[in-house]
Amino acid sequence: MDSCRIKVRDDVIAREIDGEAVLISLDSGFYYSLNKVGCFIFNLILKKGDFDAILEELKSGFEVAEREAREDLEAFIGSLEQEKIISVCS
Amino acid sequence: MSAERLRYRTEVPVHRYSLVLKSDDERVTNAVSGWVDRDIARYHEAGGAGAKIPFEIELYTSGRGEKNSSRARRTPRGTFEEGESGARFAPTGALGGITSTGTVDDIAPTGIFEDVEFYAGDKQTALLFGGKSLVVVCLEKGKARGFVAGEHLASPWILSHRIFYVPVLEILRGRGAFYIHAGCVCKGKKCILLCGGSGHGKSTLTYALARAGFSYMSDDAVFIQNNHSGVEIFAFPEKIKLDQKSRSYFPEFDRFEQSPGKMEIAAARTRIKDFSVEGQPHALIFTQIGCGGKSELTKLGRSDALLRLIAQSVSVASKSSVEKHIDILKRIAETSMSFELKLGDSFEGVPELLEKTLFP
Repeated sequence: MDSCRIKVRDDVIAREIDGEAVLISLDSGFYYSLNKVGCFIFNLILKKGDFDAILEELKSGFEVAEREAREDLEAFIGSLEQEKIISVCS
Repeated sequence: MSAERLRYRTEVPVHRYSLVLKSDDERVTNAVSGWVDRDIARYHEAGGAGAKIPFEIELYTSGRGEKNSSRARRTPRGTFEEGESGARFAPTGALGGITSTGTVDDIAPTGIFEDVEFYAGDKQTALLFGGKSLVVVCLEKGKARGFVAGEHLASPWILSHRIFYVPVLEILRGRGAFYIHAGCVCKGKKCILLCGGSGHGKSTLTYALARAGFSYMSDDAVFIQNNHSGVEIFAFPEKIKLDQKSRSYFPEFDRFEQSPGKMEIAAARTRIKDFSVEGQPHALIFTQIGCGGKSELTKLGRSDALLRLIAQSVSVASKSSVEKHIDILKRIAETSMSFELKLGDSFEGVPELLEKTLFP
């Protein structure tokens, strides 16, 4: 998933409350909540939209090793993509 | 078919608004009149300063006793067509403020809720009920006009709860007033929203609290709207609905007919003494059926409360409209105390528990 652009889909509405996020997909009608870490990453997706840039912020923000951060981020991005919250293009 | 044929009329006051329903068939207006609780409506009539903002809903039918032999009827206002696939209304030109962009087929489908299809245009929404009855809502003007298919005239529930009420929801949405599936009771102007799925004790709890001295607003649905001082909450003045199991908790209903389904009960036949027309959010209670024993109250975080509120708010609408709706829900979640209430064997002690917790 290196060097890929990540974008929140147009039909998704997101709102932050108490450091957590609530997401609604208008297309599917499903809604989701993200905990504080998920919300942090989601905000990075909105701000940076680039996997490598998000990974760097994660590593420095949480003082976590590269490999662990990469694996967790890939899993999280994969889940969001599967739920059609984001689109990922290389 | 002209407006002069709309000789039947009923008016429903809802907070600062007045819903004026006109039809050429008394079954339509009778269905809505029968649904409204006139005692609660009197509080709405008396409430607020100044004249109410009128919303007009005009519902035409094919006319009693007339054959449905002609498939298309051209009127000064548009063309009604009734065919095998249902009814169509093609407004022509400017229709009392409803501007046509063509036939209903030209408006993009937005979604479906139960048996209602939504089609959104630029400034109007078309609603198709069961593929047969059709209402076009002009959001800007707060007007709706439509056609009721013959087979729907036999069902007061479809006439009132669908063909009348769904356009009302659209008109209110156009005015920034959004729907939540929740009961509501108040202490002064402080509202407690009681949220929960069907069968989770929401309506029963609402009645139990109102009976215990809280002021009653609704047992099923409220509207939320931003105003200059925050969020305001109000409701449609409909009768209270309790099924047989709910009624069994309250001895005043022992003399009622023992039918299992939900019964609409006029407020005057209950032990509710006080009614609220509007208020501000104070607390959110999300009900769950517990495992027996005593009822338990658990505090909820604000994001959990927002997610649960979203689950109670049906929204088939444009993205910008849904965003406005959610922003008001977020404001409510941020400014209200939120709890999950696991209901025990009975409602005994629950009003006192909520009174003590929410109004220390």
